[in-house]
Amino acid sequence: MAEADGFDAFYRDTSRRLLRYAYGLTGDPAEAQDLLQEAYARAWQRWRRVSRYDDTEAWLRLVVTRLATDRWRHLGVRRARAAASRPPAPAAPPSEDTVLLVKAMRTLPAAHRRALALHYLLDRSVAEIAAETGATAGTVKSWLSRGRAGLAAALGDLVPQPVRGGSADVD
Amino acid sequence: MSTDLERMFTALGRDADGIPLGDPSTARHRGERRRRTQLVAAGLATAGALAAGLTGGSWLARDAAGPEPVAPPPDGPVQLGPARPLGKEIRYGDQQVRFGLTAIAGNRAYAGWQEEDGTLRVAAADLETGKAAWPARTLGEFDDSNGIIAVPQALLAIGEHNDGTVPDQLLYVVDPDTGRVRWELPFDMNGDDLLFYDSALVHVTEAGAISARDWSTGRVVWDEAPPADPPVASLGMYGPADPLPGSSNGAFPAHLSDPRMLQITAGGALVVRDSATGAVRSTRPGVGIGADAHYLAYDGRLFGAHRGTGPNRVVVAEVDGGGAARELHKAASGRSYYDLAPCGSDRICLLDGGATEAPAEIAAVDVASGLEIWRKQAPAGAQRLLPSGARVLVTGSGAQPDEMSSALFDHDGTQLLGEEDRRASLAWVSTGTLLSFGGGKLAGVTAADGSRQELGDSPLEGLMTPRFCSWTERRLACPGSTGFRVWDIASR
Repeated sequence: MAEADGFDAFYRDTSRRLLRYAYGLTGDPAEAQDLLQEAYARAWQRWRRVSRYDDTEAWLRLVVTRLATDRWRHLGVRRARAAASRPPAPAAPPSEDTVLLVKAMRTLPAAHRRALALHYLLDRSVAEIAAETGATAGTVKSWLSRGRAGLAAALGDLVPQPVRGGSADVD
Repeated sequence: MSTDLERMFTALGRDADGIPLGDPSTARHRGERRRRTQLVAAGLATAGALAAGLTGGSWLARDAAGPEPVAPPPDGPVQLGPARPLGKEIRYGDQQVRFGLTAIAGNRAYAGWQEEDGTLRVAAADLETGKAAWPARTLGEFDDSNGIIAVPQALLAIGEHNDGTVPDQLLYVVDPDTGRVRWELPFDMNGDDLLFYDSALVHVTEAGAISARDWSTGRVVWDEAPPADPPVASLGMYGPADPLPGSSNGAFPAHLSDPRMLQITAGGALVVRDSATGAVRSTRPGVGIGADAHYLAYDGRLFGAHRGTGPNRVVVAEVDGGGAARELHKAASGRSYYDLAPCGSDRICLLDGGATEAPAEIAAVDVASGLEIWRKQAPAGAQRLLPSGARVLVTGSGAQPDEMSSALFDHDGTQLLGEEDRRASLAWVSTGTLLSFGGGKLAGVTAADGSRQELGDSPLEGLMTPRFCSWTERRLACPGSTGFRVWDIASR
């Protein structure tokens, strides 16, 4: 079936990047897998229309963003619900850096997390992020700047402090 | 900081790249489950019309072992007339709408729509007059909706929050007479099944918990805790005189007159229950072929068709018999089954295709011998089989965007549609007549010879597709951009 084949090829081309983005937003491998499946399920639901979009991958990121935004706050609830369903394929334990970064990201507003994930995980420029989010370049710069500052503050609390004076090397 | 941040994001990206990815077919199946509700809205409308004319008696008089065998109905062609609008358009309101769709059951045409701010609303029209039956009702504010389902007992509507609200999705059961919400139920479009029996609405969760609820009050008539061997499919049994759901693997099939409820478990067992009491009538191992399969229960038999990467096969089991299922058909290497449907006495039609651009094919198979009676190329983008008696309608999305393609195969494999209708989207309006939407026109098509009768301009606006409409032998209901309305399509 050509339609399904087209979808499958698109999935294979884009899903790894989208999973990266979903993981950046949620910091939880199972949540990221679930968001990914949900986003592609929605795409398949409307595939004839969605596949003709100028940037289908950006549309999927938007779906993931919307789904992730409030899941973040309700992660505990979501986890409890997920425990009742079939477990996804397990992921390897994250590195120490990832654990620290995920904790720090959780302290940030959604817009900052989104901008940081697009910039650092998908190599998107300020202009590209502005185009995707509908914000001005200035706003995106502000998100990134404040996001970095927020991470610095959070990581300062999370990273072990030097034994003798000074501050943690986080800025 | 920036170097550290780069390093940490690199680590996060590396860890993300190590997370296992699911198969695209998993996402498609999940999407299909969501899509099914909307598809069934139109299918049920036809089903309701057929059932009204063809199914007699009451399930209450039947034994839970199932109804007596019924011969397939003879052709029931109906004469259609030019489409004439009834009453005024029933307007959605002042807001722009994201989508609208309609469903028909009993003497009501329903519409469900979602406004730009997420408000999900429903309204009903009297099917005879086209006038509003009750004012539009607001169900709630949602991020998304999974459509509406109309059955004689109620209108069902599903809203989805997607914002962390628990429960995420709600199924509303609306009174057809007043529009009042009778009761509501937490629901999971991706994992739950619904079965529509006269006695109750049966809800099966993904984990296998079952609750049968009274249509009027929502009171639990019977329930079951999730079993150790959870179901991968829950379905009802159809007979030759029953309307069939639009899709053979429908999680939301048409109204069921046979009281048997079938479940196929992850371990491959077939469990048969009485839907009125929940009592288990039989349990039999070795029948199921896993979760990645279409299942269809028809005329006392259970069919299963693999839709995975292969090797793929179709199996069949007599529901009241014993032993394991027997192999009925084996797909050629690299091909899987997209759909299956009964297409005549002791015959099953299969739609199969491969991973290449080669077109899908439809084959009629003798259930006794497993031999192919005929095999034909299916229309471009074919996805579904819609049977009626010994004929089967195949619809597809077409080779080009915004194009539809259809074919109607007779019992011997003869294709019956004319050129114009092969480029249209068709649907059964009676056992001998189809409605054709294509080229901006609405037409009636006689199934026996494919002859076409134009009924006027299509009521579909813009990019609207027929699946948002619903119909009976006498009425057509479609949503527009500002409201919905009913048309009289009976011969005058």
